[in-house]
Amino acid sequence: MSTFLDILVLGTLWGSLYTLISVGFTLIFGVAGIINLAHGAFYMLGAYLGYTFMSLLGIPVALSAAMAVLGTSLAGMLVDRVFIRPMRQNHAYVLLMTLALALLFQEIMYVFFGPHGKAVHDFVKGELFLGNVRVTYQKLLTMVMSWISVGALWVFIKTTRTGKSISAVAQNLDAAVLMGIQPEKVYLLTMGISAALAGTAGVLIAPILEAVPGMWAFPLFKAFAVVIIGGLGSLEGAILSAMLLGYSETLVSRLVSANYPDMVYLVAIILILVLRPRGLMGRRAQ
Amino acid sequence: MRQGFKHKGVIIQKGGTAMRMKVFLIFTMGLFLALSFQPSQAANRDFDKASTIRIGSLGPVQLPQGQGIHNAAKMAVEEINQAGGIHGKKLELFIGDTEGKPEKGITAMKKLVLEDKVDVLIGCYSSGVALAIQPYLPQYQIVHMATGTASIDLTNNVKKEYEKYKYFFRNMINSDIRQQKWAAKFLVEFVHKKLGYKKIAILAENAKWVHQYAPALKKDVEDAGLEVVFYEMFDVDVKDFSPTFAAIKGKGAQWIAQIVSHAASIPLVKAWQDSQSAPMGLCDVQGMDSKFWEMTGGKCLGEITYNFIARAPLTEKTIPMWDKYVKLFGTNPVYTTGFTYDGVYMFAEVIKQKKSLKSKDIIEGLEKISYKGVLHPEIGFDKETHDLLEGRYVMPMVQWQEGGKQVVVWPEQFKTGEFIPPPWWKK
Repeated sequence: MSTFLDILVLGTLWGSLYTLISVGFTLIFGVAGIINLAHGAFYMLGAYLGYTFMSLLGIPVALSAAMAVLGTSLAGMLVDRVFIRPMRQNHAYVLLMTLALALLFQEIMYVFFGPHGKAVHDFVKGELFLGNVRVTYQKLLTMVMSWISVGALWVFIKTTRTGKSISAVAQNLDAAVLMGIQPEKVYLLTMGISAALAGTAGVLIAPILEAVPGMWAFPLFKAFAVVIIGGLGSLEGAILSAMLLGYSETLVSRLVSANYPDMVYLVAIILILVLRPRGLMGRRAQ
Repeated sequence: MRQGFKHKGVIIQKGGTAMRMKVFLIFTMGLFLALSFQPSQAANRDFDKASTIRIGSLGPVQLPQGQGIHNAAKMAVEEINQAGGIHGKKLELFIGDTEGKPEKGITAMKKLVLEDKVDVLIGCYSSGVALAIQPYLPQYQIVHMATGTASIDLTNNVKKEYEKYKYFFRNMINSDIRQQKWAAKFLVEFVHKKLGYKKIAILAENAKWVHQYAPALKKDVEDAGLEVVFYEMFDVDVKDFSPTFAAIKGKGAQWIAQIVSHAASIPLVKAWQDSQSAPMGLCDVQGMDSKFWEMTGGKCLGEITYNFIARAPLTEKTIPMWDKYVKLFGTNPVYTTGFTYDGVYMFAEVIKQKKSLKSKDIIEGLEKISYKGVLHPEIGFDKETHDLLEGRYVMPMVQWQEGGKQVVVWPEQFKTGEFIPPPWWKK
């Protein structure tokens, strides 16, 4: 029973984080059609900003987290405006530019913070027990905040005028333009939201793991896996595949070895590309 | 096409594309050979003509292990100079940043040898880096005393090909045999016999220095009657240890023997503390750092790790050296510190005795030395392997206790306090 609960709790934790990371990744692809390889760098930036505000400057947790997320969002918008916008239609350029930016971010973190991991203290102390399984409030908070963030995005997209304009651009750019929507503003906002989501994940993960310069690669690979498995551009698909990935990795880690979880998503990618290339919930190509 | 001339029936083209290509190739090869040729006269200087004695210190500047090497070398050099140097000659220290990577280590070593023209090398964290550097030592005929590398391959090379690798000495405790034997001794004598625990989990990183260590440790403790209920060698890139500790808890482990150096210690310790699985103690290299308490937000409370230096009377020199180091650098010594500090002094003693900077004299001197250092009263090297002599070391087991204190809990003769199990642990 405790094995099952371990997998349930840890799988939900990681599934929630993967959801948070990949929803932003798939959003920017679905709206602007770009694969943003700097997405993992926003996650890293969120973690380091959280560390800086909380641990170095001693700013209260909630304010630090908000500032870290806002800072990451602004960084995302800056990247879009300065580096992506001039050559947005050239996908190869965007890929290379965002990769270069990710590497640059890593080097900047290395220079300012050094190669060692930086620890952020738990935001909340305490625990509860599910049977024999101890669940810290920090992990609970991470799960809850992940879902609140994704939920907030959902509500924003579905119910607000600005959110609907994002949807409109994603569905049909020409029609959206005819309706008076300015696509560049939509892209800018979407990038800001995408970066904010990644930054939120970074802020939440820092107390559980650590902030370290090479941490940007891990969420990028996971985001890739999630959107390929779930279906490019599908938010529902991203959520479903993120949770599946979280549970299956935890299952392997718990029952087999900590060395094999990465094989799960690699095998899943291959299977999906062979058997159902559009992903679990992606639309069939016309 | 230019006209050539006939010589003995062979037409020789003067000038022309083919000729220019040949000249270019010959020039390039010559240039390549000239640049490749590295004279070995950088070391082996004439002692009488040398105005100073140059020590090259190798280590990653950004990591605590490397800082421990460079700081220790600096402290020892300054002390020796304040005492008058070696026969009136001052020591100079040069730093080479290896970044903890083999290719950077080679570059750093070459810079020290060829540009700074050091007489001897000390330091070097990471066996991978030391193995990369080792083949260059006979080329430059320079002695290297490694003080942060544990793999037995380094000293096995000396034994197998003495003439080639005689320039290498290790003032550190090799992991494959000595650290492993000490670890087994701790688990049997302290964890099993004193605390009464039998079910052990071994959680080791999959790195070069552990490849022989972990399996041998498992065998030794099982032979002594302990039960290894969980055994894993995890990839150094693993960051999420929660499922692992959940599995360990599920197996009913009463003690976790961690063996970690290169892997992410902070997430490991955090996951351990959160899991409340079992007390943990054996080897966590990052956990030796005095800043580790702060880095983990106190989540290392209760963790034990062996260290190669502690604020305990390993010799009468240990505590004064420790306190001076803390005053100078604002942080505790790490495991590379003591070895490097003693190493610089050993070089100084040998050079002083021999009045020579020739590597063959330094090698001869080091092979015969018995030095009273901060880590042991009789430090010496095996003549065949140039490894630290058996028994000439202590590895105090240090526990993190409330308030960020590091307390030596074993062996008995060096204890500075009692073992305190983690607050959540019910035996």
